[in-house]
Amino acid sequence: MGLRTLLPLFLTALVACHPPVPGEHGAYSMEATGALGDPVGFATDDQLATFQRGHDVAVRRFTRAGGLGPAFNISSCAGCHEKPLVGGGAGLYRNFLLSAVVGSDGAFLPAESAGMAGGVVRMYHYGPNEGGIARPAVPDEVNVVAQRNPIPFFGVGLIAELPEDVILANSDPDDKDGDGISGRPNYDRGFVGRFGMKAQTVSIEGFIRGPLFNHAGITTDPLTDDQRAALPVDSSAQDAAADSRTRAFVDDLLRFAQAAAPDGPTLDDDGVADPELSTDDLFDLVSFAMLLAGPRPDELDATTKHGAVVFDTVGCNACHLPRLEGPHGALPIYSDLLLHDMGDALADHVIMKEATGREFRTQPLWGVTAEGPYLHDGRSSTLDGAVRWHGGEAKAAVDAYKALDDGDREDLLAFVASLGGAAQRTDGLVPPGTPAPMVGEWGGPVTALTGDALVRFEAGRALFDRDFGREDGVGGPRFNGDSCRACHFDPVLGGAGPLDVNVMRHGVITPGGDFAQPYVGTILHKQTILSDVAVRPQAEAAIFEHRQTPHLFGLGLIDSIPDEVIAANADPDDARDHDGIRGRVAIVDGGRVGRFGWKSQVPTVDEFVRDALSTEIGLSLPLQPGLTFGRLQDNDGHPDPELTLDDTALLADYLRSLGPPPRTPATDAAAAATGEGLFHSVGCALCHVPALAGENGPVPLYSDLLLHTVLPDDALGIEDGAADMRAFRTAPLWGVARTAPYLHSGEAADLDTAIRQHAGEATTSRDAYQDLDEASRKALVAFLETL
Amino acid sequence: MPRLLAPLLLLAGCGGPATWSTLDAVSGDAALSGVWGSGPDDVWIVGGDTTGGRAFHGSADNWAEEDVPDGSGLLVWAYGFGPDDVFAVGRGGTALRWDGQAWANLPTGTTEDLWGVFGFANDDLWAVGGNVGDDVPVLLHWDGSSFSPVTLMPTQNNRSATSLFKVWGVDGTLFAVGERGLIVQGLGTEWQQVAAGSKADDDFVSLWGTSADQMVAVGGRSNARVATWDGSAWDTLAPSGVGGLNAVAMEGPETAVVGGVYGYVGTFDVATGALTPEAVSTGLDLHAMWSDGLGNTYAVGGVFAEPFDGVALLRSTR
Repeated sequence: MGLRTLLPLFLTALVACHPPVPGEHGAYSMEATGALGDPVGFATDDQLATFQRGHDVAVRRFTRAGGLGPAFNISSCAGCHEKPLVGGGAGLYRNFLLSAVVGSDGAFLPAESAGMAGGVVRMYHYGPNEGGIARPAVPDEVNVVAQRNPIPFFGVGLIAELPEDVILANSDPDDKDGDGISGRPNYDRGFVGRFGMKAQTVSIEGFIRGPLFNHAGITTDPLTDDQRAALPVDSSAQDAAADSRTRAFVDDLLRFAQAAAPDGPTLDDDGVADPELSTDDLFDLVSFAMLLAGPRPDELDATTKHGAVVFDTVGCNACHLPRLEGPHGALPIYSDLLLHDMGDALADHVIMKEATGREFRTQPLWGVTAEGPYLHDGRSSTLDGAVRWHGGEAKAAVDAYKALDDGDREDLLAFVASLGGAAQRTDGLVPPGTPAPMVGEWGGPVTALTGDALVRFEAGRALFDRDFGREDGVGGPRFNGDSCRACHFDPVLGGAGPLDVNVMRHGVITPGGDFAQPYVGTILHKQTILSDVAVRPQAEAAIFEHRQTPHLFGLGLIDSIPDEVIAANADPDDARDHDGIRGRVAIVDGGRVGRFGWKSQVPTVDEFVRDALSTEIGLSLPLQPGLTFGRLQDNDGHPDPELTLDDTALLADYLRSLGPPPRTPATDAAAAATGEGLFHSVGCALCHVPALAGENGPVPLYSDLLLHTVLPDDALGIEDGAADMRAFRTAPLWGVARTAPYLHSGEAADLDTAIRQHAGEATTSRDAYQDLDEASRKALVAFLETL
Repeated sequence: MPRLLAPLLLLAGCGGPATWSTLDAVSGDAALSGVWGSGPDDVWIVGGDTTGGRAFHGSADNWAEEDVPDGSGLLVWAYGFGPDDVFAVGRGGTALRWDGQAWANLPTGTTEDLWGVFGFANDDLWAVGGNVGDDVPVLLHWDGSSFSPVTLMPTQNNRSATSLFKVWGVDGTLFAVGERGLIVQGLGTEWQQVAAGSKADDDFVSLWGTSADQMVAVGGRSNARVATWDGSAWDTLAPSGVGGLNAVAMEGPETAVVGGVYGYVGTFDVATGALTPEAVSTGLDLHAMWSDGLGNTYAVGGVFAEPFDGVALLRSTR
């Protein structure tokens, strides 16, 4: 044994002779760490190019034509890994459900959801299967339901290359040292697990391919052996071992096999050829994940130095181990990556590999301040709350934490918040210090703002962006979003939403054929604050309808249109012009004219804000004289009201200030001009009226804001306000260029398809469009794309 | 397993230390999925590649490839009743029969994958399968002239398994195992679901028995599952730190040789439940084992996608 071999042993022995000094957590690798979202410092130029390509795959919005679905929760990787930026976690609105059946023999079996998906409950479904039901059912026999908040990917490549011995060295399954902490490894294919809330996965490739299929319905083939060999973390053990034919060589390589995923191709039946993501794209995506740097801690100051001492003294470091030594040096990970019993309060009853329903992996704390909400289901939006939920093996440490004086506790929390990402922390997704868009830009104000007006606009934008947590009263107990931004972000804050934030409506058809509202209301929420419950539809529900999130640009201008201007275009009996168009004014609560929502069910911006806060986010509101929307009380156990009138006024003012969507220059001006003429001659403009007179001039929204019957005669839909099952408000067309997909259901991926799916009163115009030659149809669409 | 071999198994269990060697003549250009022999000098190894099914015939270091009919799917499993009467099944509903001279197609009436075949006699044989993740398992009975399907009802498959992977019997006791821990027992032409305990929560992939009260099933897609049948009930173990198992062959009533992912091999002590790993020179997944009852156990495996690499190993205690 040479000197170089002996030296580490000698040093280890020395260290072992002296108990670690509280707060002295030691050096860490600079090249392995960085700001959240940075690549590792040791990445080669080729790897950096791959990193960028992989990032582009991560933000790619999958479409149904591109393989999304048929069942899905999400339409892009970045949808769930967005906070504070791509590769991170997400707010409560991206929580998903795991479900299982524990049978009479006690075996834990993941449940089906529009097919097998590892127990993942899928929220959306398009296509002929599942009986056409847009929300796959949660089977009646399901008796285990648990929520999961998306997990960040920062530093996963560094975790992948940790030798198993480094993790196993801290394992003490029988608590032989008597400290009450009995961490043990999970295993995956015989290797020490390290990814996932229960360390249930050893393979980054598998950890990406699984969710691609389970959450997006995107099928993939495994990476080829050559690709695995080229990954930033070498994953070619299987092939190399086969060639070597020597067990010693296999043993030497197997520790790298944790990054491999030996499963076969994933397949689905959505009519799109499998695989729906190429192995080249998958390679880039896996490489991107592997190259994400570990979050780098801030320099300690007096406060955080003291906090580090308290962290150790309380005993947090028993599981949140400050360093693990990897091939690229010490990682400031603050985790032992082992399973620990976390007590009854956190138990989710989900068995994953060797992890029991009470066990979870010690969550790494690097970057934690920017990655909330916390715990496996995001139940806490504060670090203090997260600590207090700990139980089981952590009980003694939590008791000690609770017994701290306020100063020590705050220093401890400041220390934890210093473990990377503090400068990138945001209450929503808008990065700190981001200026408001200018007039004429997407998301900018109607008019130039200065001084207090600008401050108020930015405050409104921040509130619109802010993620609400359970401590804030989110949920009533059900909800769809945890912020306004959660649904309105396409292409920028205030915009539309992709298919994966569709609101699901449902309804009952009576024996007489009439529509009846389910007892929970027509909104079938995705989320609930009840951790072990799945939101189920009323058993008799027969209609499920996707509702695409419309953009909010120009809302104040629409608000300014006098009622009589809208009414002037009404022709409910078609008596005026016999043109087959029967626009009706939607009269809603208090005899007011509805103008917002797919069914014109909401009359003003103020009411729109109250309706959305209550029904979509589950926040209760104070009574506001003259307004009828919004819930004054809810059932989430949080004191009502959960917001103030100042809050609602700030949001309403922000929305009223949002400028109209900017026009998009035509790529072919001549064609667009032709298309504008066709828009009128075909008859589109009969309902999509180019402009209505507002208080301060014409509002070019391309809508009459009236209700029209546009579904086929045999269609069943949702009644809402004054709108019957087949009626919808004429959707404003301004902004359509960048707010796909289209129609109330999001069924149409492009404008041509959207036009072709019009029926009812729009049948004549639709047929006229379809009778146009191809060049003319393209010209009309080209015109729409300028709006 | 032919009953006359049972006494020999007892002798084999008293052999020396096991040694593993690679059968280079068979390893290489095809993924290998099944192995069965009528005796120590008459062994079939089946598998396939992009061209479809492949079949290798021989023993130890002496092998020859036999042609299979055009259009045969990748062959997954084989079982027979002597050197001149062997059945093989595979992907896409493929079933073949060897008459001592050549392989011939048998119509199965299904295009779903067939993963296992076993019979008490050549006119009482079962083939099992199903496309994983799709619909219900396939159960086919061969009466000597044709296959006929048997459908498992929900009461026979309350785990919603979509595939059965293997079928095996001894002394009139017949079991099939499959997805999501499903075990069904054949009772004449009827099948009955059998409980296997709380750890029967993942696929069972293969099984073997030496008597009506000594059977072992293995599985687990990620982590190992080993179930034992004592004549009245199945009980399942979840050995810690061992990857999924696909292959099992009992060398005696108390000892099974098992194999699985990443070239894992070991022995399983039925009485104690202990798994003892052994070393082999492959990192490929192992898919099947067969023991000749004389101290030799064949193990085969490979990659069922490009480049269809395969490996065959021989374990000897003689």
